[in-house]
Amino acid sequence: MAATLLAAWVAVVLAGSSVLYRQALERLRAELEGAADIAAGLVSQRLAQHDAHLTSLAALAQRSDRILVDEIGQVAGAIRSFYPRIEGVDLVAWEGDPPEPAGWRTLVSSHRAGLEPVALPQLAPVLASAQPGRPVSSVPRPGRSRYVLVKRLPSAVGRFALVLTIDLAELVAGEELPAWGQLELRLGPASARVGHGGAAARAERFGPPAMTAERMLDNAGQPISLRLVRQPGWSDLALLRPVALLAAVALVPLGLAVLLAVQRRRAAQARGEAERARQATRLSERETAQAHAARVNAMGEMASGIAHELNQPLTALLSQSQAAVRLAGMPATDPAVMRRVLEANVQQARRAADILDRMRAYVSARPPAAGVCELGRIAMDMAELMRADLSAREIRLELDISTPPPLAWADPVQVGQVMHNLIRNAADALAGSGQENRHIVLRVDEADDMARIVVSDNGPGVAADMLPHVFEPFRSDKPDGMGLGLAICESIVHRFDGRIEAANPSGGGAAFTVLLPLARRKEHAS
Amino acid sequence: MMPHPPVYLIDDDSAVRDAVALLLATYGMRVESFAHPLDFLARQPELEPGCIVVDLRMPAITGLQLQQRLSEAGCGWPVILLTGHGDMQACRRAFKAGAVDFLGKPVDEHVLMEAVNTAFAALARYREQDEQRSLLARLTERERQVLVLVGQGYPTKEIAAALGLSPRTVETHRAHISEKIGSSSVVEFARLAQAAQAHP
Repeated sequence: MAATLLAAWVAVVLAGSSVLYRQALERLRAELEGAADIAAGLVSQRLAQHDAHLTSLAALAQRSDRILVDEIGQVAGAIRSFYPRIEGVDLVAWEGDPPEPAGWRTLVSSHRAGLEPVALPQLAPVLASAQPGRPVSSVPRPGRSRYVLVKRLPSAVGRFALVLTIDLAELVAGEELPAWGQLELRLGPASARVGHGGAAARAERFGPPAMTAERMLDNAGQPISLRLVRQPGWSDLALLRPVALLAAVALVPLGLAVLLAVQRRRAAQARGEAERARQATRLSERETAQAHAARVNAMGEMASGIAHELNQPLTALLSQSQAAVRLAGMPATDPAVMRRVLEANVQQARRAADILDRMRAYVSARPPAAGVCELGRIAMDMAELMRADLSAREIRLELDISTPPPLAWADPVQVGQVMHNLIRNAADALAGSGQENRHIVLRVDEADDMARIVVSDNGPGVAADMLPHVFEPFRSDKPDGMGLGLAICESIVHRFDGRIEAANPSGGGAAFTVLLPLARRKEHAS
Repeated sequence: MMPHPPVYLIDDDSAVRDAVALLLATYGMRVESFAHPLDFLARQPELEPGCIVVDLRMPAITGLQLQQRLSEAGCGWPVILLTGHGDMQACRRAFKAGAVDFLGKPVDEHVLMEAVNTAFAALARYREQDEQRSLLARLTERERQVLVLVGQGYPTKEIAAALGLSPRTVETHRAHISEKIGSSSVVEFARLAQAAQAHP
């Protein structure tokens, strides 16, 4: 979690820094281009001045029918003193074409001290190619920073040329350049470097890449190219503060993300706990509901059937006893008749006691315990308990018990409950149908090495969409049902390692099959 | 004293059936027992009119359904329902369908005898009405009109005027009515006229 967030933070900072870095480089590039434009402007201006000097000198040279050597010499001296980059001004004349050394003359020569005057060998090619009125430049000694700008005077005057010797290195002063810039000037083989204060920026080892801006100056006679170089340092990029800011700002959403994640995890934990608690509650509610429904079934529904059963012997007892009292008061009463009446009373009293015994066995609050379960006897007891209820609803209950009856390993009372619920369920299904000749079959036998109880009816069967859900609690399709009867059956059957299945047999109706372990299997196992 | 009408006892529980039959017999009742309500329904048309005591809960059809079938068949014999439960719903339906009484089991002899005697009185009323109805059924529409007016005490002339008949024709109708009901007494005419108005 922490590592993920740290990685996320680093990624954000890196991505942001990369953007900032590129922006900073673009800014430097823009500065560089601007500086290059300024430098090119300066240089172009100065080159144009050279042309202008040549033009004015040429004009002076042609003002009269003779060459005004002295005047030209004075002007040349003035130019040179004003413009240190112009190291020499010469007016040369020659004979022949190409020029021949014999006729070579230097009419005017103004030079910076120590500088050799221009000589024919270096100038001969350029003089030969030069057109009158169009200055051309040439580099007398390659590798140096000096070039000559030659302007031939019109041929009408004779073979004359004005020659300016210019130092590239002096075209731009270091102070005119930005502190970070280094300017390279090149004209043919001549080149010069100018730096601010003379100090070239050192390239940092892992610094940003050097950047250059080149300009070709638009001057026909002096085709000079400029190259402004910048070797930026990290400090030039001025990235420290924005990156630091970014890192700080990036921490905020990351912090929020951390906070959210922590809160979400806590919420999820809380939800999980709440859900578990709810499930636990639901389970215990279900258990409680089942227990309650079981009691309702056992004590209520079953007792109501039992009450009716008890009413029968009581009715017989009461009527018979009252009849006996009347008979006893009649003089002509046959003692044999009285005897029969009393015997019938004894029988009915026993019947009532039997019913109570059965009821007590099924509703006594003893904990469920697995034991040998005589399914045949339980089936008969249940049939007896439910007989009146079923017959009132015009339902016939058929018993089909195999011989010998199976012995299951389960709690007899609870198995009785399962049968009771299944029969009641079938009766409810039948009661709701317009079915004639309603009947329920309770079959008890062995199948697949298990004890089997099958309760089937000839009712409408279980609705297809209900079939997969019949054992789920609260899924009743009866208007007044709680939907617990079958759920209780399932939980009881599962408690004793049994299975319960619902099906609509091809013959019609519904069939519920309960499979319970056989008692003899359990005994073998233990 | 005229003998009591019979009591028809219908209950699927033989012990109850025998006990109640014995009790009723000690009161001098003629009791005929039926284990199955359908057996009774099958034999009912040939039986002497009597009082029916039937258990509410029985296989095949309940006491209530038995009562319904009887009234559908036009049989107005009184019915006493016995039940193990104080089933209010069934009780209400039973009374609506004309049950004489609704008794809880086990039933005390006095309660039972009172209900049976009430039922006999109801049966007597029913039989009388039944007789009147059958007499009235023999009359033509015109004869019924004449009977009602005679019963109300109008003289022949006024009856003739009211019905737009000649007095002679009215006399002829009276003679026919007397013949059909087996009596020419004005009192008998008045009784039948009341019954005719009660059951038009």
